[in-house]
Amino acid sequence: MRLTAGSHHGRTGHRVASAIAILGLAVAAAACGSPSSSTSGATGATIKLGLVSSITGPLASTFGPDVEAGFNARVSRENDAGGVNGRKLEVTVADDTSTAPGAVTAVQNLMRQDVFAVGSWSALMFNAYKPLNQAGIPLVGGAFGAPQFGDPSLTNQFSVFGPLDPAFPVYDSYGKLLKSLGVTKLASLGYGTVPSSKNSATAFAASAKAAGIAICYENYGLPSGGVDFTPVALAIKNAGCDGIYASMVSSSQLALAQSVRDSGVTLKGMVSTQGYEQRTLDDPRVREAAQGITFVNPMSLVAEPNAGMKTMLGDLQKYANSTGIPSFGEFGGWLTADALIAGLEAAGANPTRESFIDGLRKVSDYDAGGVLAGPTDFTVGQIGKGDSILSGSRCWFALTLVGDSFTPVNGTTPFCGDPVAGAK
Amino acid sequence: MIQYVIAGLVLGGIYAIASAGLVVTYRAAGILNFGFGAMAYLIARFYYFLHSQLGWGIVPAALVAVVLAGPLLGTGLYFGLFRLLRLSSPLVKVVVTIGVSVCIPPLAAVLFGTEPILRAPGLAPEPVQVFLVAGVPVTMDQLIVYAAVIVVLVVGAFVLLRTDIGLRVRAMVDSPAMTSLSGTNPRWVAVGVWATSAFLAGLAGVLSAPIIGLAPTDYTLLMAAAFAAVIAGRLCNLPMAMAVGFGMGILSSVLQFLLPPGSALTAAVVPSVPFAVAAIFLVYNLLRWGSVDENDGVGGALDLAITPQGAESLTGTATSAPPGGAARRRWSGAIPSGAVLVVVALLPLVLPNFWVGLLVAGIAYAVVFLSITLVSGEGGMIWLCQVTFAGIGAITSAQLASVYDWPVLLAVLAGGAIAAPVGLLIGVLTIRLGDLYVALVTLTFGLLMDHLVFSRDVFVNGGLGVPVDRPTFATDDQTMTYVGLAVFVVVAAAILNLRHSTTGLALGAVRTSPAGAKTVGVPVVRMKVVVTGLAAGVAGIGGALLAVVAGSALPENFLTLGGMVWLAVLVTAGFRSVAAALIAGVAFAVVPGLVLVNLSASWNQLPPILFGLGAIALAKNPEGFVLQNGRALRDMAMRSIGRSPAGHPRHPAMTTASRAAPVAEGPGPVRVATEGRRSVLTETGERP
Amino acid sequence: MTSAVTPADHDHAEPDAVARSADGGLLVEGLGVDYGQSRALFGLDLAARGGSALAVLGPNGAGKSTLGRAVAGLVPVCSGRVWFDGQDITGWAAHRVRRAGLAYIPEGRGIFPGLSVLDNLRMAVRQLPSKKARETAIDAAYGLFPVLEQRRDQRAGSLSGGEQQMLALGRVLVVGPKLIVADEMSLGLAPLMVNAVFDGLATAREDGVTVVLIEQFVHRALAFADDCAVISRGQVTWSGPAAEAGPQVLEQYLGAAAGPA
Repeated sequence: MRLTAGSHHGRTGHRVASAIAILGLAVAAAACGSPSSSTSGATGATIKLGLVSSITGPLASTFGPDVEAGFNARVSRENDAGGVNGRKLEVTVADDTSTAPGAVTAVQNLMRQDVFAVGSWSALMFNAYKPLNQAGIPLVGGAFGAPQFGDPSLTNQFSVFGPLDPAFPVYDSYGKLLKSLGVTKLASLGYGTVPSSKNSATAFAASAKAAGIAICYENYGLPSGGVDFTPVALAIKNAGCDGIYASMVSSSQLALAQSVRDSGVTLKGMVSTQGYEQRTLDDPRVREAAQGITFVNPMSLVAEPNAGMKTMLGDLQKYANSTGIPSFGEFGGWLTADALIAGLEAAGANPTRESFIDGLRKVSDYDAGGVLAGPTDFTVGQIGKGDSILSGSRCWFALTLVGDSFTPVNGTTPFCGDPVAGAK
Repeated sequence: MIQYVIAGLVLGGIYAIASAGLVVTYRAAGILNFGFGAMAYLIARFYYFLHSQLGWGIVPAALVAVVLAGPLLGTGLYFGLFRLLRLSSPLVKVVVTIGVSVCIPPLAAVLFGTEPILRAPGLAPEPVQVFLVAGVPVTMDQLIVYAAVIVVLVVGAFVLLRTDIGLRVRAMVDSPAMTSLSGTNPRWVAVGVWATSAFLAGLAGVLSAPIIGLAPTDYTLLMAAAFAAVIAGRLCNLPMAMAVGFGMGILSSVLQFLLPPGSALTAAVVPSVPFAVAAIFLVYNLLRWGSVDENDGVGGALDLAITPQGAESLTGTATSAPPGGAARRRWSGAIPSGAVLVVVALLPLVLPNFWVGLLVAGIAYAVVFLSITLVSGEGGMIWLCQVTFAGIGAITSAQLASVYDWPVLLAVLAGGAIAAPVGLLIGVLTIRLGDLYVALVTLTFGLLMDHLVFSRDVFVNGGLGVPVDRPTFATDDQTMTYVGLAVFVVVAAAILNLRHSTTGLALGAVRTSPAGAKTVGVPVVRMKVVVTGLAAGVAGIGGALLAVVAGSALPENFLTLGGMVWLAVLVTAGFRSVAAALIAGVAFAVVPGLVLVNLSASWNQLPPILFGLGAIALAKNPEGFVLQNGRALRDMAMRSIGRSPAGHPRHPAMTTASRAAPVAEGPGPVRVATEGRRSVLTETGERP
Repeated sequence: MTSAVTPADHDHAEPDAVARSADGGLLVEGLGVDYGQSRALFGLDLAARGGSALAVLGPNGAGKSTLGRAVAGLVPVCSGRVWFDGQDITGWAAHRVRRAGLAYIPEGRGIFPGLSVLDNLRMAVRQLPSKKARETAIDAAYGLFPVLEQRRDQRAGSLSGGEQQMLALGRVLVVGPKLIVADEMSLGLAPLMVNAVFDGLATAREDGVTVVLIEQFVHRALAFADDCAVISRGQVTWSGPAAEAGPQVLEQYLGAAAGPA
């Protein structure tokens, strides 16, 4: 490798030329985006739908390409059956790359391509919804920690889990679950640097207390990422706990469960809101670590599927080549597409964005044909009332991993909750 | 409590191995490898790929990943990269290794896929056995960590102290120049050192995967602890670093036992252990020795004497000075900047809305980048926490604008005004530290702020950030772009003015040779501290602008590791040119958009890889892309109008303004700041 | 760097240069060396015949040490050539130069201060082919300077100045060099030690080793050397036999500061 401290004009000239070429190409590429127009996206034979999700980045482990697969599976079935009222659906996917600015760019990218409506299965939409609102474009999807889904003035937004109250109100359903598992002393854990983690853990603990369960250990100061849980497991053991709720990412929960098991503690129950998916069964390491964990899930049972579940499972198998329990991403993508299609059907024979919004706002019992454990009410009066995805007023199923399958707690009856008076 | 000590020995052992890997390359090659954690992650990921994804057995997978691939990676990085850094300035070394750390995780994603890894196996056969030691459950994985540490210590000590190879390494560490003069080719020793360091990185990675997980972000805490241990060893003392590494593991564990688990104090204290340890050792060393400089003990007087730039200067000084006096210099610097500015100003008029939205963010980034231009380009200091000051500006302005209803632009200025004194404080605290220590301390400060301040719910607001509305006259992107440009122009003009003022020249003198500047009477301390305060203020304003553009101040966007990427982008373009700051900012915002629009999602890993590679390219081109091409463009322009391009003046007198000048040579005239270049010491028989 | 240095091409080497640098001789032609942004040496010419002793004198900052480092391969050469022992060694890396037999003892003591005396010697004798040869060489060093054996496990940096210089010299002598460049060896030493150093160099010269002595202190060097070259501001301003370096020459080129005898 020769390096000279002298000038090298020949190479420099070449470098300048290439720099100019690259710059020119970049500007040309930028300028050649399609001009923005004000049509409402439902032109002629096709309807353009957009999807925003975290396909790549750190959150891809929760969302990821599965969302796209699930979404496309639902859409493909619809298209194969002739589309909605004879119009086929065209899908554009925009990746938010697991960052909030990425979500903004994703939404703007979809608007640039003039989509009719946007589906979102992303936790990062809180800055990105504004332009959609301003343009009157319907936004349908999962309302993860995004309070604007509970804002009654934003009628273009529909949360498939129902309206949203980010104050994490306390419901009694978690307490009921713990009681049926036989838990008497609960350890409640959350991240120190993620406020929603602490909030969800304390709400869970409050529900437990309301059911008469003692809180033996609380730790909301765990560092996120890269933790050795041995000291925590020791503390849980010394406190005599027989139940755990950890509001943390899957990998942390599994590590914690393993540490607790290694230290010789036998738990009556450990509750997790993530992990009811095929991957948990297929990966031997995950399966081993997750033994005995009870997973709660807004999706109906897979082992004894109702009609709606059979349809969804069929779609995923046929179009996404996916069998077994759908992942969170597949479920969410499929659900978002289904809700969008429900809106399109409600919009009538010649859909416009306004007719979509008006039509879907009249639906009060959307449950994706039985896929959701409990129905969602889209009517305007319900916006802002209710709670987040799994906090309690909704219904959900609880299943425990025993051996190599999930056993439902409570048979085929979901847990549904009522508010706990004066709690928190 | 003994149980907690035993539990803490595991992580402590991993910290000790990691710190050993860092110290080894620092002592032997003079490079503190910020990419160490990323290398550990890559090897660990490769092991997972071989063992869990391809189904290889533990022994073959470990042999190939840790014993083969690790050293190969180290050797490859040495030949391709670190070898070129031998005579580079501290800033280049830091940025290049940061470039490595930025590049590797997306590369790993490209190579091995993004399938989430929930449980990573270690070297223990599965199912993992659990033993009881003093009533503490110890898994086989943890036992293997203890065994690995012991083996590394014993074998390492034996090799170093008793073998010929160890002798060569110790000689090279003592003085690379004397090693050459003894007839030993330092290249092969260097290869061995880098291969060993990479091996240790891979070992630390594979050992820690079952315990702390396998995601790139999991290695942050590992790196912070390893750096703290290395700081405790004053970068050079291997046994001390390892001992402190152990100690930190034990301390973290014991603290979790001693402190009440639910309290906010515990939540703050436990992750802060590495930073506290680093701070304690730095303060102790400052009090004891008066200053802490990484040149203590690395190489000898001879090595310093043959490095032409002497002890402490950064790359390059002023941009090339054409003949014709100060006025001519000022204008010739302004012309390319002006051209870039005009182009950017015209863009909102021709580009569609989508791109203007990206452009306005790019301009806000450019203002933050100007703060790096100020503190590193003008001030010559390596600060890795400018992103933190930007964050402070953002959260401050958001609070003022939303909660207290201040007018937005005033809140933006206030954001800068709050960030500036923080910068001043850090500047004062670090004034007696050498370049590399400053980099480490600012990095540590940034990480600490991430944990203690940027995680507070009052700022995070449930994950949404505190909202900030745009000023009423600038709600659309186009107008906002011009507001941003106006801020940029004001700051850039101030920087250019500073550069050509007496203060700027004094700063240039300080950059080239602090000792020399002191002898001429330049108040070094005051200069540097003022610059750091200004730079922090500029960063605060930029961060506030970013919040205004985004619509909310989200602390997550201002985390220290993200700031490394910002640094990489700016340095690629050039950190001594305001035009480069603008280009870098716009590129940073626009390139991911280009990828998003034109390429499928699988290409999303490309921008960080590009930015990382750009930082790495600094090894060959210390001035950055923009300056080098800007000069070439100007030379071409001047040639076309018939003038000769700026000459590179030679001075007949030898200058020895460096601090560690050899005894025999007395002080000569102070070197005049001219265009920066490097001489190269060849290690083969070839001439440069 | 201005002119490019053409690659060494031994087939068409100047026979004159080869001859003049034969038998461990040194020939420097038009040497130009940069030090950072400045030029330190300008077209410097000097020669030391094989087996002879050359004193290189000059004031502070004249470039003497740069000359030594350039010849040794520690700093890059911008222009000119360096011939040693019949070969063009311009641009060779320092370890290669050392293996060819050119030993440079830098000023400020040519030792590893952090290693023990024994380790210092071990590093020096590494290039010898067999374990026996290496042990013999180390014993020879002890024979030359018995104090080294006494302090074999002591850290070299903690030795006295004279002892360090003996170690530096011993490291070089026992490996059989062809040429020694001694840079300011007598600096900071007591007169007894200076004697010991010069005795060592004299022994080397008797064995046919070429000695290039870079010194500030004139009289001792002139007494030892056969030839003399005076360097000032990066160029040779006078060269000739040491005997002819009379007081006028010295005063003219060095001023009144001629140093202690």
